[in-house]
Amino acid sequence: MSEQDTSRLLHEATRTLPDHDTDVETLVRGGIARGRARRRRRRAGTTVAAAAVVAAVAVAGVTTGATGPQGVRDDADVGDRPTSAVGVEPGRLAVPAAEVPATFAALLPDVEVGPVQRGPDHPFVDDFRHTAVDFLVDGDLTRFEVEPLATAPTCPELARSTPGAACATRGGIEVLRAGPTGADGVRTASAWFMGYRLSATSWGPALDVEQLESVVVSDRWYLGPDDVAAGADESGSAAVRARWTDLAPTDLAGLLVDRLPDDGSVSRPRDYRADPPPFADHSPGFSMGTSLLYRGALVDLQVSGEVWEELGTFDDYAGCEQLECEERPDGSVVTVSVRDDLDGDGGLSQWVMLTRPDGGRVSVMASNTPDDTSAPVDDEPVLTVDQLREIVLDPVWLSGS
Amino acid sequence: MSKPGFEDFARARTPALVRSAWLLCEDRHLAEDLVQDTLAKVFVRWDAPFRGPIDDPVAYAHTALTRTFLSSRRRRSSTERPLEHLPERPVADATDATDLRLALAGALAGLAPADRAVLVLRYLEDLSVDETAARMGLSPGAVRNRSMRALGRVRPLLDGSLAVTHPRNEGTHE
Repeated sequence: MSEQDTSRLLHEATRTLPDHDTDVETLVRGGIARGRARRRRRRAGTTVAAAAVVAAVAVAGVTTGATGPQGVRDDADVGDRPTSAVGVEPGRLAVPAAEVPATFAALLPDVEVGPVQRGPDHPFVDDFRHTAVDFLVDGDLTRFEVEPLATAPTCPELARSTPGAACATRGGIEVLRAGPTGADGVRTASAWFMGYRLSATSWGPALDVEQLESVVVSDRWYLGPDDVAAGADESGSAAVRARWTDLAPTDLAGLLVDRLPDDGSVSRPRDYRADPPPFADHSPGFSMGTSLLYRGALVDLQVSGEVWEELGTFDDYAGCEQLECEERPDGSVVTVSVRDDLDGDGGLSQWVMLTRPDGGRVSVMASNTPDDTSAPVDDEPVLTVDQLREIVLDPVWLSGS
Repeated sequence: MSKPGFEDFARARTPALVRSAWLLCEDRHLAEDLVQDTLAKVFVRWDAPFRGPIDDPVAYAHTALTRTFLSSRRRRSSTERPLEHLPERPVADATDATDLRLALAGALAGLAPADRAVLVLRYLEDLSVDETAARMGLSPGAVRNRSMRALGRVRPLLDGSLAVTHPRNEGTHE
């Protein structure tokens, strides 16, 4: 049998699969439902955790302008980053995600800005170095995102994959403009500025590209030098922390280390001490977390609280709509993930999450790789489900436990 | 908000994904499950914050399909083993499409999942050795070896089907 014969047989066998048996709509709906569940799980336990992102970046050595633990700037791996990205000390972000709409309103007084959109289709990320938030402007969906240059695509990279996009330098700032494109007239602008890429996108005609560009090049998104000196970026609001936990973000790493089996090495991401512990204050909710390397692989702890009624049912909030939950006598539930090879590259992660009836939540994720791009250091995640469960059930993380 | 473009893309690609998945899984229900898992991964990646658009969504989706299949089979590997020798099941005289599909399923059934994936990528999706290697995360040499091995194992079972469906091709075997 020749290769041609083999190919013809395979094509013939599948060509004759009756297409009318394929319920495309059902499969697409099912895929979207699973995608939403997958994204919720990632938000809950793994990838949205800024700590994990920072850890991955640090371990991969792709630090852009960040100062390492020894105070030595490391630009060696910047690669083809644009000139504006190299050697720039990242600014301190001044605007929490929840306040982005108000900042838009201040920058663009002629438009009507609506509230933050929350839900499974709307990313909401808020920490010291990452922002992603959806809201309405004159009724059109608008998204604002901030990411550190270390993980951002360059302007030429982004332009290659964005229809109708072009890069330019205006006022010394590298910017990308694109659109309107598609049936919705999507238009976007990005700026590579003060150590970050800022991006604003509008799904509709409410904002034109010039307005979007004026937003992303504004220095209103950063703290001024006086604010930084005064400690205005102190990690998290004491009031919101007090509602949920007795801990400060700086407590988490040490407490997590204390609860790991003592038969393995523990280390911290290279620039750990250079970054403030991630803490997001979205009153009355909050989240904070930490990451470390145990036996060379990433372990990530997240402690958070939300008013779950605003997000859907309790079962949905706890992940019970998609995963097996174990209800405990106090009404809290423990959700356990399966080992998940998200990218099919041998990198595995598994997590256990405790969700309390008041919305308090603790999750711990263990992987078998130090970051998203490195080879596995072991065949299995470095902590078992039982070990993860023991950590999340420890009463130390949330007050009132 | 619906994700701009994703649903249209998913509707357009789902039939092709189902065809590939069916060959990988040999079972319609498992194939549809695999396709939904694949669509879920593409959905998450489609407009993930901090990441640009997918350069080639079709290739991305098919790569996700292949790797999800291989990953799921690795998880089940404690209970599933490729057979040392393929079963001597009778191959139907492939006089209609159903018989041909059954014959093909039978031929693929005893292959290791990775060998099966190599055949599907190389001969259904018509990918080159290098493209197959990239999609599976293997070296090109490993793809060649698996391809030769897999062809050698399915050839005896598929020759009959080939003869019936394309009698004029008899005698053109490697």
